[in-house]
Amino acid sequence: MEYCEIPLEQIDFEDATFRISEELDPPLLLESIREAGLLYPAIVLLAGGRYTIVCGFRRLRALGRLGASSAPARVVESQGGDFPELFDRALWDNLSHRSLEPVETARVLYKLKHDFGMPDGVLTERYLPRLGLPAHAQSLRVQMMVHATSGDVRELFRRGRLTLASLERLSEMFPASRGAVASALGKMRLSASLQRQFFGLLRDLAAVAGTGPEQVLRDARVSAVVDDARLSPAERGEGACAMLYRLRYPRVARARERFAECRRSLGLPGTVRLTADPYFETPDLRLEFTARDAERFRRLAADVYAASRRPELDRLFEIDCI
Amino acid sequence: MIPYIPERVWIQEESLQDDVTEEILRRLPGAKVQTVKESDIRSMDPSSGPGLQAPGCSTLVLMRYPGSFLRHCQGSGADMCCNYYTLSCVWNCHLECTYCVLQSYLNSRVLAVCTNLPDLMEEVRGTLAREPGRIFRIGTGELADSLALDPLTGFSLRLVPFFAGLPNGYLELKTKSDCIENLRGLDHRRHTVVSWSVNSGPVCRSEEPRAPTLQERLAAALQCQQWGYKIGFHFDPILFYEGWEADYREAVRTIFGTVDPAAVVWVSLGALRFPPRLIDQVKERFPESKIPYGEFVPGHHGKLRYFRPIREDMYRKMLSWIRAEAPQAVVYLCMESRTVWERSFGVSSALAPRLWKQLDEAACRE
Repeated sequence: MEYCEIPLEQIDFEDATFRISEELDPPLLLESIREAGLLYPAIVLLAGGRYTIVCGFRRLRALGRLGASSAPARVVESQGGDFPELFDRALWDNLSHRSLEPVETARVLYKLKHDFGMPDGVLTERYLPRLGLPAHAQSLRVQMMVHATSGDVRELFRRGRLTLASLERLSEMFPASRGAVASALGKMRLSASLQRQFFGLLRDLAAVAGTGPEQVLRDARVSAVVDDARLSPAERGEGACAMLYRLRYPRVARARERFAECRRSLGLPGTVRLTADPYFETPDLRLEFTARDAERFRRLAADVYAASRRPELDRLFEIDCI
Repeated sequence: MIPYIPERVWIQEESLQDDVTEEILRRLPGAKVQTVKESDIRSMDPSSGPGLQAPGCSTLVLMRYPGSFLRHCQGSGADMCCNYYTLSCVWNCHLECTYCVLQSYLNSRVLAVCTNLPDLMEEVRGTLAREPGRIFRIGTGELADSLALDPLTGFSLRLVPFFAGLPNGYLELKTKSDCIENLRGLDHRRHTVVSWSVNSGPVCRSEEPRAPTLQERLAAALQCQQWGYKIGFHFDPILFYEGWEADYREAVRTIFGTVDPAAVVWVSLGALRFPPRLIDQVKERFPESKIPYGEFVPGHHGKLRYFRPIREDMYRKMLSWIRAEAPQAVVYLCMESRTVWERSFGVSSALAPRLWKQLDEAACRE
């Protein structure tokens, strides 16, 4: 290997054989090179008079954007047989100073398997642990699935808006369904547990109706929440899950709404907690409050007594909602 | 009904000398038979852990069961316990109803039959002798269908006369099958109740496709009634779906229009309930079934059940229809909470001992 000053115009920026990075133009790198210059030379492969980037896609692109006409680089020559070793070098170059994004991890494994012919056994035993993944065949299968995603779904995943489990669910859908669900997800923000709930409810409602999930999302009651511009993405997410729950479990949802309404009508202060079995499997109610002194205790007890005199209390024990 | 014909038979070495083994093999000429060691059998203990049924349970295992055959029903300890006992001598079932909890209860993909029936009988005799003043109602239909394999095992030929000789023991053969031929001419002395799991017509067709139709089951019930057996029915599981009322009402009318209501000693009601893991198993094995999409909530005993008001409504209505047809039959709920008993049957759990007394009396009825 030798160091050279390479004209940028002789570098084939389109050849992504050894590319690992997802984001090729990070602003911070541009600033760093502008301020401090290129601290670590790239590695390029010379073949047929052109240079292929092995390590340093982002550095060289940044130099180009800064108006540089050349860049220092280490040059390697190869007949092609040592491409896997060169890719390994690119991988270690990245791992030495950062963690890979999930899509980048998937890209690495995909290239090792499909572009460089690495057997699954080697990928599973050597590379998965190196990339911080469980070393089994299912883990490898999931990574191939991640790499195969594209468009909105890929973008959502890349931005951390989708868990791996959600990505798997989406990849199992027909394209039309996937597009509609990804579009809805793009308008919402869902925690990991809400994503699980969202997909579960969607799947069940679609199965009951004998349709695809996109038809469930087209229900006016659901789309009204998903498309409500007055809500934040998180509120839309919670609202959409609540609406799907209401559609999937109408009686339970109605019972909860009636309970909440009855409880409000008792006029109890917020410091008095009155709760029921979450699924009303028993009619039992639980009453709790905290009192720091006798005076407060008497006040809260008086509020509870007043509530006990209201006729709405009887309704709290009856939630027949057939 | 689709008869059970195993593709292969595995026989535990120790079972080779048992009469039951010889009789079963005689009824399976040409079966592929293999002798296996006890360690092989232990690794497929049919009574432990969750697992999936293999389609049709193509392997039949004949083994000596080393454990206790007689147990309190798994619903015992509930608010309204009916004090029932279960007797296990067959494990698993080839009928593969979509909702069957055996899919999640049993560890193995085989259908297992115990060959040490004398040990079973000895245990029953000893247990009952220790409490001679108490009535024991004992059923063989918890982990298997009591009669679906009877043409192969002939167990009823042994158990029915055995229970006839027990002053305080009453056998319940709980089945979906119409395999009753062995019951003909047995001296049962009214110590055996033959009961059928029944359902609405549409449910029988969609969720129990390998079992006899409701009409076939009732024909078998009528025949058993004519042979002097006491009869029982179990509406379990009751499924909630659009149109359920008309369908179940029709089923009740059909049942009591076929058999003599006076011969019916008990009718139990149980809405669909199952461990949570069963939902995914049903979705995977029976994707056409709509069962997994009911309005289920976590209930007691860790099982998913229909939302309580749904159950209460179903039970109230079923009770009224059955009372109109068979006023003397004991109608009871299976594995239900005190609240549901009180709200659907108007029965306080303080009356729990009365329930099992009623059932004991029904079993003893001449």
